[in-house]
Amino acid sequence: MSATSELYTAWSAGTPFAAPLPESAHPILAISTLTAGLYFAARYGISQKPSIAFELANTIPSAVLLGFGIVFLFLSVGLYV
Amino acid sequence: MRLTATTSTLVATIIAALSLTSSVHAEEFWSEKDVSIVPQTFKITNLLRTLDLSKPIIREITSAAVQNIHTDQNQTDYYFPVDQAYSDNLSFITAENRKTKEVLEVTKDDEFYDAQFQYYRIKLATPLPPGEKVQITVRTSLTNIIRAFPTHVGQAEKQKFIFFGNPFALTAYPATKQKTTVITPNNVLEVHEHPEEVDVVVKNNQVILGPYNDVNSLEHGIFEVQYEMTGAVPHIRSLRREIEVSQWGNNLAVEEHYNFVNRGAELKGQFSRIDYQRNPMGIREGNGVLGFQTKIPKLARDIYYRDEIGNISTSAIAHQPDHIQLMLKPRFPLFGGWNTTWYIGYNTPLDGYLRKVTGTDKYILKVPAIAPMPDTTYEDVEIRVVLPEGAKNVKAVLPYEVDEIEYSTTKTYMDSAGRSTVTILASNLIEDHAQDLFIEYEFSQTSYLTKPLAAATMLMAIYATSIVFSRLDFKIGGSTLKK
Repeated sequence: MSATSELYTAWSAGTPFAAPLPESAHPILAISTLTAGLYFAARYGISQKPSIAFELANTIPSAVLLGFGIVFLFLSVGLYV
Repeated sequence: MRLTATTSTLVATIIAALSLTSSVHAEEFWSEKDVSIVPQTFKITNLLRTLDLSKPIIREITSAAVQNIHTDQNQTDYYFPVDQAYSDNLSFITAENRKTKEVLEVTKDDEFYDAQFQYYRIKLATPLPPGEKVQITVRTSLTNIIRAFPTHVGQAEKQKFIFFGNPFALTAYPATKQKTTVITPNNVLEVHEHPEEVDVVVKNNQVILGPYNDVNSLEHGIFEVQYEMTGAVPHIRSLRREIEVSQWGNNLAVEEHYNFVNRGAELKGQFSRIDYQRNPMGIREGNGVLGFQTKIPKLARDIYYRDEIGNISTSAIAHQPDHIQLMLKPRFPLFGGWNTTWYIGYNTPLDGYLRKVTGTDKYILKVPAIAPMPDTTYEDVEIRVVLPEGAKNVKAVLPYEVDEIEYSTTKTYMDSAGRSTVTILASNLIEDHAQDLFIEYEFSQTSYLTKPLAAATMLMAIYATSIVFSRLDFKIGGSTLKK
């Protein structure tokens, strides 16, 4: 009984949860990060005899951007991961 | 006529069995008959007990004026006994000071063990000086205690129930004066009592037992009330409530799976659709369950009501000032013994439930343990709370005792390490148990990056494979062959 009332006072004193990004931004961010990620992926895909530096300079940003893009895509369609 | 004869023989056999066992018990379990093993520091000067039988869940309200008879010590603990035979039926117990309406702490006592009685310790708000009086009200809710009698009734017939109880309020201390009032929904049909010397007065829908003077502690007898009650006895055999917290999406997803049965009198013969639809009064005031009402959060969205077949379209919501009233109508009416299963779910914003302790990485989640459904008993409840990936040091706290709290990990969409999960198993819950469940956990800001980086790592693995393979030569023949 007292444990719950303790937690209730702690809960009331806390700050309400604030999401890292506003929900309205999810669709826009999803589209923009996916587009950017696919751009880099395409640059890597069509390259002829690229150097390792060139390859890595395109695949790493592509992977990161597409990773974020997938998360925002899931969130904007209602699959709250 | 036949009803009376059957019940009289039923009561007679129970009385015979009781008188045999009570005499045996007196010798074996107590050195002195009818003296409680808790410290006898109180005396009850007046006790009024109300047994409310108007709903399927029996509510017993015991108001006692208690006096401290100890010579020189202040008392803080008042003990309230409950028969062990009813330990499975007792669902909820609260106590309050009758004058100040202050809620008193009630705990199940494990210090005084008695084979026949379970004691509950009620802690008084302020210690009671010797000779002083205080008025305590104890409210208990008993489930699964009434029986339909006869067990099968026709579609349009009235249901009758039978209740067996103690004509004396079970107390740990002797009572100078006590009175019990039993309230039934309609006129009382029959009352039988033992021992026969107890005073019983039947007035319309009330049975008044007493007032009895100088009642010993732990005094018990048996009395039986037969009464008519229309309406179902709603009972949820199993409820699985899944709550998923998503901090990335600022969302709390709730999904509840129900298995419901109507424990009223069973239907005699076949269900007649013609009779059912011809009689609108019968539909409205009959014994079948036509729908369910429950409250869901005000900002709930994407509400769905489905079963194994698919979506059930006979549902409606009504927006109230502080919640949404969800009205569900199953595919068929539920008569006695009929059952159905369904599941509902919705999404709601997380900021109403989750709060961060300022300055730390600690979060506290406050959610209702179950959604309240009126007059319904829950047999097996499983509450599963899935926390975001990266939640550590998880601790769940409930305001009442439950069977088990388990901590585990679940893997769902885009999980690499798995999400901390709390599983709470409880049984015999009623509407009053729809109180807040608190879960605290630690979640660092960097844990937000786990999901995107997990996806990025998978993609990078694919790219790395591609980079390596593009530098390998798989040509068959060619430059190694020399002409």
